[in-house]
Amino acid sequence: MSIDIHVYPSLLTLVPMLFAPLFLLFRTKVIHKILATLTVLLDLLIIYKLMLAMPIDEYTGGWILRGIHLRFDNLSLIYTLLFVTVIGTSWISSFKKNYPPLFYFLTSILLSTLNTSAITLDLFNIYVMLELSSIIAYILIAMKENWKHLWASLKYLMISYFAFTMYLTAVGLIYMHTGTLDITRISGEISPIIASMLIVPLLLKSGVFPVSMWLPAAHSLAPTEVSAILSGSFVKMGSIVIFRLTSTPILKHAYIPITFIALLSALIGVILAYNESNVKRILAFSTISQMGFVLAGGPIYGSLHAFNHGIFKSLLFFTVGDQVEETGHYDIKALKHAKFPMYRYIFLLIGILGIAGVPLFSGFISKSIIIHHMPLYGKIALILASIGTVASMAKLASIGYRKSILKIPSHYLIFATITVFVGIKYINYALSSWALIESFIVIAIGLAIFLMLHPKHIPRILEKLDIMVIEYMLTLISMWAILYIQR
Amino acid sequence: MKNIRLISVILFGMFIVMLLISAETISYIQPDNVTGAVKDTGAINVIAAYYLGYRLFDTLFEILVFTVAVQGVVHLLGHMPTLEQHKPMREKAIIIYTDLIFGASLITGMYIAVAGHISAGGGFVGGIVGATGAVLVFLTMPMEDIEKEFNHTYMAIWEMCILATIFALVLLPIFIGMYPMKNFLPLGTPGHIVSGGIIPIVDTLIGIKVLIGAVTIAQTFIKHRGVF
Amino acid sequence: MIYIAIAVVIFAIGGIGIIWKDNILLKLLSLGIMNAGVVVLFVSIAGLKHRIPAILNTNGPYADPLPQAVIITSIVIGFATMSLALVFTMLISLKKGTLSSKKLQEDIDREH
Repeated sequence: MSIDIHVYPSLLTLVPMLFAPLFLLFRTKVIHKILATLTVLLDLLIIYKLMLAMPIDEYTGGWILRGIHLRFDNLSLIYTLLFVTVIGTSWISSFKKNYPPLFYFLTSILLSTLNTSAITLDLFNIYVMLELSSIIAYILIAMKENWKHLWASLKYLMISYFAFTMYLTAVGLIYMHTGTLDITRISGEISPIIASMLIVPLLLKSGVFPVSMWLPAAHSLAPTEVSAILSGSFVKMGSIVIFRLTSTPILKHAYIPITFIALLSALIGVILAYNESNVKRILAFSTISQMGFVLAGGPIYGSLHAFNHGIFKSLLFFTVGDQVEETGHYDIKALKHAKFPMYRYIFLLIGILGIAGVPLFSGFISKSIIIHHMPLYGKIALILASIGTVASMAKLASIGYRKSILKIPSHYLIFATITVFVGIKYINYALSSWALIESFIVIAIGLAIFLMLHPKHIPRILEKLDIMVIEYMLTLISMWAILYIQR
Repeated sequence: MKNIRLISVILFGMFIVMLLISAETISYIQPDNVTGAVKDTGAINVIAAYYLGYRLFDTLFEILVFTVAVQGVVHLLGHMPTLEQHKPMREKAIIIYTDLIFGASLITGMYIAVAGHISAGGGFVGGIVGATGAVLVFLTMPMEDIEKEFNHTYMAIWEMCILATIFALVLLPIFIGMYPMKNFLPLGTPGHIVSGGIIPIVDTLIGIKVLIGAVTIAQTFIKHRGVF
Repeated sequence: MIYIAIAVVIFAIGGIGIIWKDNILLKLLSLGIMNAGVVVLFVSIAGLKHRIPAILNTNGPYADPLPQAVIITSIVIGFATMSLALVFTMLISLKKGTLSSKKLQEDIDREH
C-alpha cells in the first residue's frame, strides 16, 4: 500500500492527534511509552518523506482553493524537526517522574498543533492553533495548583485572550476586504491598524520584550519538562507565523518595525537576565533576548537560530530545572552552596557554550550569520546583546560543581549531541576570521562584565497585569505609527 | 494604579477610533462561496458543508479544544475539596418536570445533531441542547445518584473512544487512495436525511461527545461548588 | 456597515472592562463581551450583501456561509477558555480568599 506524497502534510497533524486520546484511554506507563515512541517515530518518518519531495502544497480534503492551504517547505522542515525533538525528549525525561496521563494527552495535542502551525497558510487556522496551544499551556502551567502558578496562568490567559480576540477581528476585516483567508491569495492593501492587529498578538506569542512579560513567571514556575517544552518549542510558534506573514507581498513592509522590536527585546532581555537572581528566571529572560535574535534574523537565518536555540535552551532548562527540583532552591546564592553534580554541570556547560556563541557549538553559527546579515545599527545592538548573554550565562556557570557518580541521562545526551553536531558539521558556513575574532572579543568582554559589574535588583513592575496591558497597547500603537509613516 | 488604567483606556480608545476609521474605508465584495458546494459535499446546508467538509481540519481542532478544556477542568478541580452538603430540590413536581424536560431536550438535541446537514443545526448545538436537560436533572438528584448514573470514568472512556473514532474516520480515506478528511462515502440525494456522506456521522459523533463533555463539566462544578 | 460599527463598539466595551475592572470575575465577563463583539462582526460580515442563510431549500441570493462556519470554532474556543479561567478563579478564591487582582499582585510582590 502506498500513500500519495501529497497527503503527507496533513498526516503530520493527524498522526499525533490520533494518538492523543489513546494516552487517556490506556493509563499504564508501559503503553504510554509505546505510544510515545510510535508517535515520535511516525512523525520523524513523515518529516523524512516530506523532506525528499519539498516543497509540497496540499489543500485539505483535496478541495482546491476551498480547503485549508497547507505547505511544507524549508521553514516547516526546520520547525517540525525542532518540535518533535523537544517534545519527544521531554517525554523521555517525564517517564522517570510521576506525571499524570493528562500530561501526555496535552503534549501530544501540542505536538500536533505546533506541527500544524508550521505548515498552515490559512489565517483562521492560525488563530485556532494560537488558541489551542495557549489553552494547553494554561493547563500545563497551572498543573501544580499553587496559587502563584494559578495567578501566573490566569494573567497569561487574560492578556493572550485579549490579544487573540484582536487577531480574530483583524482576520474578519481582512476577509471582508479580500474575500479569502489564504495567505498566499490575499491581495490589495491592508490598512496599517489592521496589519498591526495581526502582527502584535503573534509577537506576544513569540515572546519578545514589550508584549510578553507573561513569560518569566510562567516559564520559571512550571515543572522542568513543561518549561523546556514552553521555551524550546511553544514560543517558536509565533515566529514561524510571523515569517510566513511577512514573506507575503502585502505585509512585507511590516518587517522593519518587527526588527526594531526584536532588537529592543534582544537588548532588554539580557539586561533583565543579568540582574536576576532566580536561576529559572535568568533562563526565561534569556529566552526573551534570544527570540529577539530569531525575529531579527528573518525567515532564512532566524529559523536556524530558532532551531539551535530550542535545542540548547531545552538542555539548559533540563539541567537547571532538575537541579532546582532536587535541591528545592531557586536562588543562585543558595544553589552555590549545593552545587551541581559533576555530570550535570558538564551538560550545563555545553548548553551555555551553545547559547554564548562559542565556536564549535551550534549557537556560534546561527548567531554569526544573523549578525553578519544585519545593517550596522542591528550589528551593534546584537553584539551588545551577545555580550550580555555571555555575562548572564557566566552567572549560571559560576555555581560550580561537586564530585559525584557519573551518569549520562539520555535526554541530556540527545540535546547535547545535536548542539555539538550542528556546531561542528556546519561550521564552514559561519567560519571567517572576522566571525572568530568577533566571538572571542564578545566572550572576553562578557566575562569582564561578569567579573566587574555587580547585578542590581530590579523590581518586577513590568510583569503586573495593568502594566502588561499598557505595554501591549503601546506596542500596537507604535507599530501602527511606523507602518503609517512607511506607507 | 488608577492612572495606569486611565492611560490604558485612553490608548485603547485611540485604537478603537482608528479601527472604526479604517473599517469605514473597507470595500466589500461577496465572494462566491455557495456554487458547487452541494455537488462537492451533498449537504444542502452550505454552512455545514464548510464546517464539516471544506474546513473539517479546523473543526477537528475545535473538538480538541473542547476536550482539552473538559479534561483540564476535571483535573484541576479534582484536588479541590468536595462540597459536604449538596442540597438537591426534592419536590415531586420539580422532579417529574425536570425528568420530562431531560427526555425532550435529549431528543431535540439528537435531532439537531443528526439533521445538521439539511437544516440549521449541528453537533455542537445539539450536544449543548441535550446537556441543558441533564443539568436540570442534576438540580434534583442527590450527589451519589448523579455519580452512579453519570459515572465519571465511564464517561471519560466513551469520550476518548468517540474522539479516536472521529480521527480514525477522517484518516480512513488515505487507505483507499484519497486525501484525508475527504468525504469518502456516497453522497446520496441532497436534501434527504441519508445524504452528505460522512457529514451526518461526524455530526452525530460530535453531538454525543459534546453532550458527554458538557455533562462532565456541569457535574464537576456541581460536585465542588453546589447548585446555589 | 452600521453592524460593523456596532460590533466594534461591543468589542470596545469588553476591552475597556478588562482594563478598568479590578475584580477577576468582572475582567473575565468583559473578555466574554469582547468575544461576543467579534462574533457579531463575523455574522454581520456574512450578511452585508444578502441576508438569507445558505440552506439551499430556500431561494437565494444567499448570505456568505464561510464566516458563519468559522465563527462556531471561535465560540467554542471562547467557551473552553472561559471555563478554564473560571476554574482558575475558583481555585484562587479558595486559596487566597480574594478576587481582587490588585491584592493578588501585592501578595506576589511581598514574597520577593
